[in-house]
Amino acid sequence: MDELLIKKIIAGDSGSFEKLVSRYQKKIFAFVYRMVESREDAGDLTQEVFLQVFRSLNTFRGDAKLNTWLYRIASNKTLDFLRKNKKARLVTFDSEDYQGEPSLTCSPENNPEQIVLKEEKMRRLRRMIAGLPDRYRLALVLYHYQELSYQQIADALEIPVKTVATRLYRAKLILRETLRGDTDAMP
Amino acid sequence: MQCREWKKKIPHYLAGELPGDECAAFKNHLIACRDCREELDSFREVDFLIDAACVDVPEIDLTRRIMKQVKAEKSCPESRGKRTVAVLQDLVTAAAAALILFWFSGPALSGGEFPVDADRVIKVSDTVGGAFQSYVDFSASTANKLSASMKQIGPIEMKGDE
Ligand SMILES: [Zn+2]
Repeated sequence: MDELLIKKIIAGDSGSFEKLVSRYQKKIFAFVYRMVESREDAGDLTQEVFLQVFRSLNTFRGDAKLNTWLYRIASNKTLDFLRKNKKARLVTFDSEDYQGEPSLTCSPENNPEQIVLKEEKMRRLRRMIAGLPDRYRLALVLYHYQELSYQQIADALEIPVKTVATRLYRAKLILRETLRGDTDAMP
Repeated sequence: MQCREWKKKIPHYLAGELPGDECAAFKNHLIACRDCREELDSFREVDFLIDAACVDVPEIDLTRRIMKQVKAEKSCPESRGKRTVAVLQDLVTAAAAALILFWFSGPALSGGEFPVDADRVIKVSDTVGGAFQSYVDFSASTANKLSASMKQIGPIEMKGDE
């Protein structure tokens, strides 16, 4: 399906490029948003991803899946952005920019006090995840939130599957140890 | 395989990504090894917490915005190059403005009329980056105040923060 779309785009059919954007923009925005934690920056970066796709479509090799290729471009742009904005990154999901609600609060048996407590725990947990080294967090977000397989992550980041496994292991090890040191964040 | 090696494979195992024979071997090991079972439980809990910490992503459709940009690039692909030139021109202007202010700040400061802004003037460095920062720092009114005190030069047009 994607192959045909790309052929049409290369042949100059702009309607097909719009289809591609429409098909993938939500996914790429979600990924970037989870990495950079800002709606505005995620919007700008997503736009940049698709502009780069547009510019380099004729260099796209059919051996990579379009999905993987998009994630590769998005990952590179995101890591680049995070490197450049290191100083400004103390703001995380508990800033006003964060719109989402912790999924645990939706449970009807929770009283308001419990809800506040769980929200606080979630905030701490998100801060821990945000504090992970970028390349570990990248693997974590791709696997847990974007639901890519180890192989897809390996293809997108152009690293061996073994390295994906190692990064995820280390990320989780760090989180586990941090959680052990912060009993307030445990469920 | 040693426990140490097995433990490293636990997230892999939990993800269902361990090859069949290795997976069977690990299951066998788990039956006999309490330590690895506890390790497995702790990683299972971490997985649960990571999933629970997933944030809702704002509903947004960027298709129109992206396509607008694509169309603009299609009709004017060299616009990116022009933008770079424009930025460079701005930097050159900034450097020039900063240097002028630096040269003429001596008499103004010795007159002691603008002590508040003196440190800003001193901040002007001989690098373009420093000049640009100072250019941004200066408000037009400050520049005009300075220039008024230095009657030998006319008012300086500043663009930027005002
Ligand atoms: Zn063991």
